[in-house]
Amino acid sequence: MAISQAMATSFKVDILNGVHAFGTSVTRGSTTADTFKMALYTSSATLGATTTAYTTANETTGTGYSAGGQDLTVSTAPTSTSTTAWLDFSDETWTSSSITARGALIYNDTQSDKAVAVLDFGADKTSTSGDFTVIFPAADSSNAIIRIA
Amino acid sequence: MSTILEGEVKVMATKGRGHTPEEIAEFALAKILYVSKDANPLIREQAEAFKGYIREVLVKYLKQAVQSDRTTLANKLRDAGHSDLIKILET
Repeated sequence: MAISQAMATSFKVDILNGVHAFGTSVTRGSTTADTFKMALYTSSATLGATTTAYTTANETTGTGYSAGGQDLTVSTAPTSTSTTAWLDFSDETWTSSSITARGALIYNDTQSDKAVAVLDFGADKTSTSGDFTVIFPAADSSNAIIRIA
Repeated sequence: MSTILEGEVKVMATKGRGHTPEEIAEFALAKILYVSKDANPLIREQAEAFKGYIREVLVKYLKQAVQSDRTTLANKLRDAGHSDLIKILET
């Protein structure tokens, strides 16, 4: 017999699936997955850990880009490997676009545009009558875009 | 202690064109296989070799898909009475 203190791996997956509600402010009308979006921003934007929701301030503008960004596709639903829960999105492309962005915000379009993650591209990235693609990392417990270890 | 982690994304932006089969193959490879810098050198070498093989296969079939789609487009243009535009697809 042995007892090892740990956060249950299944709980980590459950968190990503929205199973547990410790607070009273959760509004969930159905069992369908929420819609997550990615918006692009210029280098003038102020985004980070304190960002709570999608904002139009300093959002990228240009041909082929609409305010609010584009819907993301969950390519790997919440799962776990060893003790790490993770999920993955499909790469996102703004085709035939002429835009410049320094970063992005992933947010929950279904839940009042609440922020999920801020992405820093490291430098301005520009497409000119071309494709602008955000490539998500490998879909595994060591690299996936969102992980609970 | 548990922590929430965020992976690193990459961005590929083009000018005056779409992505090439070689570039799209790299996107796919990023999803298919990740070789850790900390991996055993022998395993890393094998993984890199496998990655190279997968890259070749992906590029070959992506190019085939592009060519096949151009054939479809050429037929649509011809059917619509724009045979002159087909030459653009060949450049």
